[in-house]
Amino acid sequence: MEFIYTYAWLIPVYPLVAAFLLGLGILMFNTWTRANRSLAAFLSVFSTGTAMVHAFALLVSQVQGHETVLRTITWAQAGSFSVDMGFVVDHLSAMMLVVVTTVAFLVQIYSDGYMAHDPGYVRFYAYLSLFSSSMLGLVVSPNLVQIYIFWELVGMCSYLLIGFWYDRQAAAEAAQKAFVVNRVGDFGLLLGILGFYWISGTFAFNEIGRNLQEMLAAGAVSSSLIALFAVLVFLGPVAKSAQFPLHVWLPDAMEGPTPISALIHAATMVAAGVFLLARMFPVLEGIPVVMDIIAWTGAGTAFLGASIAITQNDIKKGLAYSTISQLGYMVMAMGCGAYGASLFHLMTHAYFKAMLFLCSGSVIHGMEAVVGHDPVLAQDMRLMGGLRKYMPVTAITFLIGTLAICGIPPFAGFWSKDEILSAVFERNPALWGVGFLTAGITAFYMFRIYFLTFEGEFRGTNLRLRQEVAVSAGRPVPAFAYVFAGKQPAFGPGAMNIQEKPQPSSHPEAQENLHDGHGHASEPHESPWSMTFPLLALAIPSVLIGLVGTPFANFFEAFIHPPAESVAEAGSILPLVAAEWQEVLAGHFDWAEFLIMAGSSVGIGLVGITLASLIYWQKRIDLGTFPQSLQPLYYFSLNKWYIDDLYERVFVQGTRFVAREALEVDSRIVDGVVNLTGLVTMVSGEAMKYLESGKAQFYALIIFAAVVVMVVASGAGF
Amino acid sequence: MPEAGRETGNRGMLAVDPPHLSWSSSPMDVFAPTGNLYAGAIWPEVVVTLTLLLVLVVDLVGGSAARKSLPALSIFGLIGALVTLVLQWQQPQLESFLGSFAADPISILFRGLVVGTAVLTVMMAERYIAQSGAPTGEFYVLLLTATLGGMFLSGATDLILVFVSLETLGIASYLMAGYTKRDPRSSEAALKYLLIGASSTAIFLYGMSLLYGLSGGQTKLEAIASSMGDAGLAGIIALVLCIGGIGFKLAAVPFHQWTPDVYEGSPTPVVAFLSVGSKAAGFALAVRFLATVFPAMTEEWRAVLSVLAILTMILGNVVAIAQTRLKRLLAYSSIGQAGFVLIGLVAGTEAGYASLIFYLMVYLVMNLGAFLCVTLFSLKTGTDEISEYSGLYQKDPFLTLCLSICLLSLGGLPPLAGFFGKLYLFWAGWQAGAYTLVLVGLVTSVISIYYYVRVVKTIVVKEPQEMSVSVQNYPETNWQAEGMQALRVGLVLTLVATIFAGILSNPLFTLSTQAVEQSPFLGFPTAQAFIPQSARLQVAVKGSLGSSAQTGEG
Repeated sequence: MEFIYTYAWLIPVYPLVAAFLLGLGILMFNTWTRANRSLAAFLSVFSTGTAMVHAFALLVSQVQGHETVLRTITWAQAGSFSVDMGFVVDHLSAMMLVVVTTVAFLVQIYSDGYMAHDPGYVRFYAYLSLFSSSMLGLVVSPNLVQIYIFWELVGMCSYLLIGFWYDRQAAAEAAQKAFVVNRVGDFGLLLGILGFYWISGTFAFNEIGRNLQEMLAAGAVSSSLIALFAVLVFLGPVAKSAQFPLHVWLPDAMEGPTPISALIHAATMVAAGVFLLARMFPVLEGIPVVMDIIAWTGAGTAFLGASIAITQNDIKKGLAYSTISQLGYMVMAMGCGAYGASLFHLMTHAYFKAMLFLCSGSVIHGMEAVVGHDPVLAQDMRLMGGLRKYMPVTAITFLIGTLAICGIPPFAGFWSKDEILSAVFERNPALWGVGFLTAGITAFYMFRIYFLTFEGEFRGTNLRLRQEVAVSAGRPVPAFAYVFAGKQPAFGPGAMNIQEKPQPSSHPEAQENLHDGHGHASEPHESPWSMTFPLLALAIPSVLIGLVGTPFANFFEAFIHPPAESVAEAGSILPLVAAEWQEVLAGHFDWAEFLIMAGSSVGIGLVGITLASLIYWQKRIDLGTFPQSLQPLYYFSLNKWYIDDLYERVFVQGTRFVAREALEVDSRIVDGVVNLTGLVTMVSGEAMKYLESGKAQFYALIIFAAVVVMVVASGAGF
Repeated sequence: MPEAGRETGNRGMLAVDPPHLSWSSSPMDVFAPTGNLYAGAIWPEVVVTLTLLLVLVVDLVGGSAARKSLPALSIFGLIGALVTLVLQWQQPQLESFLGSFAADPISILFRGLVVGTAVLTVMMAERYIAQSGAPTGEFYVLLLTATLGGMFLSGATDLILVFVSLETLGIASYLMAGYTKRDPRSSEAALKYLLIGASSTAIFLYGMSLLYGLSGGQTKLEAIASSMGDAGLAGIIALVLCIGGIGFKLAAVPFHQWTPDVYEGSPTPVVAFLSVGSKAAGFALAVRFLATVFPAMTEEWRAVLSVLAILTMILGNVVAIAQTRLKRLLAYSSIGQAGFVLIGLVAGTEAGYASLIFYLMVYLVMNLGAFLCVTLFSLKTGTDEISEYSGLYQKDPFLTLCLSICLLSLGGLPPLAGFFGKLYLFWAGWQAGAYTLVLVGLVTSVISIYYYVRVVKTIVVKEPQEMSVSVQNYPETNWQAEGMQALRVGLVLTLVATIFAGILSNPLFTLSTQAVEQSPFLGFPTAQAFIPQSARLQVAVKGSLGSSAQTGEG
């Protein structure tokens, strides 16, 4: 079996080959490549599939107790400074490899259906393969330099894919925003990496922690300096994993194609921040200040994301804020030292959130048949409703995902979220309070999305409503602000107030439009099998994967643990887990504590679900009866805590102001200097023209003169 | 000793070359008394010579169909030469032909560079010649002759051989510059090149004659060195004259004036060869000549070369800004690039020489890549004005990719090959204490980024109305036409090499370092370990020489 380790470096290379071939094909044999698009898809899926099989082989081998394999080659050397490149296969990277390859594999299958009508089909697959390759390279990186390289590569792929439809203004702007915001974090990360290198003299994960401990013990370096560098490193995950205050790019990134949102902006790339924290864990856990900063950042982000998700009307934006919130959970767990719980949630979240996003893509795909290829209309939940009737598979899988994220047993999310909450409770009850509250909000907004989308009546054929949504054009126009204002809606029923049934349109030509015009169908349809198959496939882990991490026989915790805690190692963990199960069956497990923790988190989840069903499904509670005083809160959430506006004021306007001032300086002073230089260059150019006279005899003269001058100059000493 | 038997067989075939003599026959040693000739050292040159003769014969005897096979034949022969060079790497021949020629690792690498340039030049030239309608055979014969000259120059350790190979390279280059006879500019270029070349040869020859006299009639480079220690002013004069001659080959300022005129008038493939192959041979000569003959005057030649390097970097890069034609821009930029390489020579440390060789390898692929792009574009549009490139991105993304990558690499942007090349050069220079040189290098490479990126910016303009007339009428690329496939292969090769030679630079850098360590004439410590049995005796002398050079530097 050694060969699977010897050739483990091939895992990132398989998709890279596909990306390279597709890129070459687009550049050199454009028409041929476009004509054979199914070949392109096959190549991509096949290469990722190969990587997946390889990754599974590694995971099985690791579970059976194979030791960690680290291979490096010297990549660059200059004197004593050398940078190694290579790969490491340990428990963590084996698990991440499997997660990334499985999700990528299914997303690539899904894309065949989703992108079927897009002219950029082949380019899409080339980018997807490039991304898969970069992400896999990141996962197996054994040192900070290599991780930084792949970190930037996944960032670049994310930029390319958010702006995939670059002719859409919003997509181009979103790509730019993602890029710029990530620069802030990456700059911090780079400074942190260099700082740690400066102190510890190494980039390798397994050595930094050790060296730092030694130096701290010897008193050679102050702990505040280490804390500073740790916070700088943490800025990288803050940007990449969309933590407050650098979370603003992720919702906008939903302008990219939905498979991308599922793969990059839900399952894999955004989790890279948490992954980096896990890799840096040996360094971070020794610095309580930094751990607190991380934990509170995560908790704040979890609450912030959930509170904004309540009021979103765009189905993808809702899911994006949910992702931010869930990433907050992971970061919070990391900050509380719950290493295993955080990565467990990373894994379960990757599966169910990818599935939720793919479901939303399926919904959008179905809606486009009715409302046309306008993202503003096709993604707005106010126009959906009752889709369960038309898209049963999507609805069921979405429901499974929703139950999983709400923490209802025995779905995957329950186990991981419960583990996080109980770990956090031991560390700090205040943090637990935030997490607990967020869990309730999560259940509420997720079921709000589910009910608005899949239950009730279908509202997409209501032309007046459509017009209203189109006018709002993606801006956060409060479509049901009138509910709070106590006024009647100016036109059409809002999504909140769905007791008012959508009226059939009274305009005859509009009716006609609906039935034959522009090829629009009057009702959405279920997506093709290439899209529903990945949904069903992802539903399996979304239901079952949590069982590997039950608190009473925690296989996952035994497998994934911080490097420092290598206690029961050097062997397969299977017998260990089997023994634990026997313990449980024999009744030695303390159920009371588990039931209290689990019961409370399930309880608040059920409260949220009940509230959502009363408002959006049973319609027992009319939002119009809500007190006026809640209106500011509503606007606060709808406007995303005004963070984007604040950034616009402070950073964008501020930068523009500085830029204008700099322009003044530039045009007055620098230009003058440049003009002077230009003048000098021109004069000297004119002068040199006489030297470059084109006369050979003159050239020869210069050569002889130069030799004479050189002789005189160097012979002057004699 | 089996090795000796093989060498003898070689020489028998080479010296007499009668067809009936088979590989292992006739161990008669005509030149026996002083020992073995070790003629195996010039196997690569033999392969090139045979190819040359074959090309000449096919061109004379064969019809027009046979002539079409000439490029393939040349490439085949050159690749054969490369293979023999690789084989030679396993067993370097430190001395052969009674001390006139060395096939030590450095010489092998430099010869490889010259041959590599020739391969890519042939790829570039096939389509160029097919389209310009000039006679086919002459070009390849001349190119192979120039290659031969460059190869001998890279390993020559004797004044006579240095001069003969220098002239072989030179005269073949003059002829190539005037190859498109109907073009008056080409003829003008050839004539100017010849006249200036003759002047600088005169200077070099004068220097060599001084060396001959000072050493009391020695022509071997090592033998001369021992008498240079107390040569005084005459030694200085000889040194400066030799540097003047070498400076002409390197196109170092102020011996550069021929370059713009010659590059302007000559056919593009010839310019490509001159700017890389001829320069590589010049650097090989510079390294060997200065390190072997003037170890006693290290301070002096470093001072002179520092001045030349600074002038070269500044003038090459500053004047390049003002150019409006890409070919001329590349001509001036190649002057500037030679200035950067001189830093490695001036540093004179192990890392300095290693980074010099490494940069030349990288420079070979990126510069020839850029020339391939220029050739392709001018073949399709008939112009090489920079402004005519605007909007090319929309018509030919592949060409745009190649040209942009090569230019950005020349400018030294990471993570391309050129960045790592410059990084190693500047680092070696800094370590050796050549601070002024490195600072000037940094500033001028920023200048160079400006003019390279300006071209890239022109190419990738988005708006259709900004497209130039040439690009608007840009014809569809017909890869099936004669010579186009070769051009394409060359483009892909250089593109891939430019992208990956940087990221995966370590093997190449290790290769260069090994070459420097294992070439005894440079006198770096580990040289002893790799000396073959047959050359032990000479090495003892060289080793002591090397160590004296070392102390001289200290």
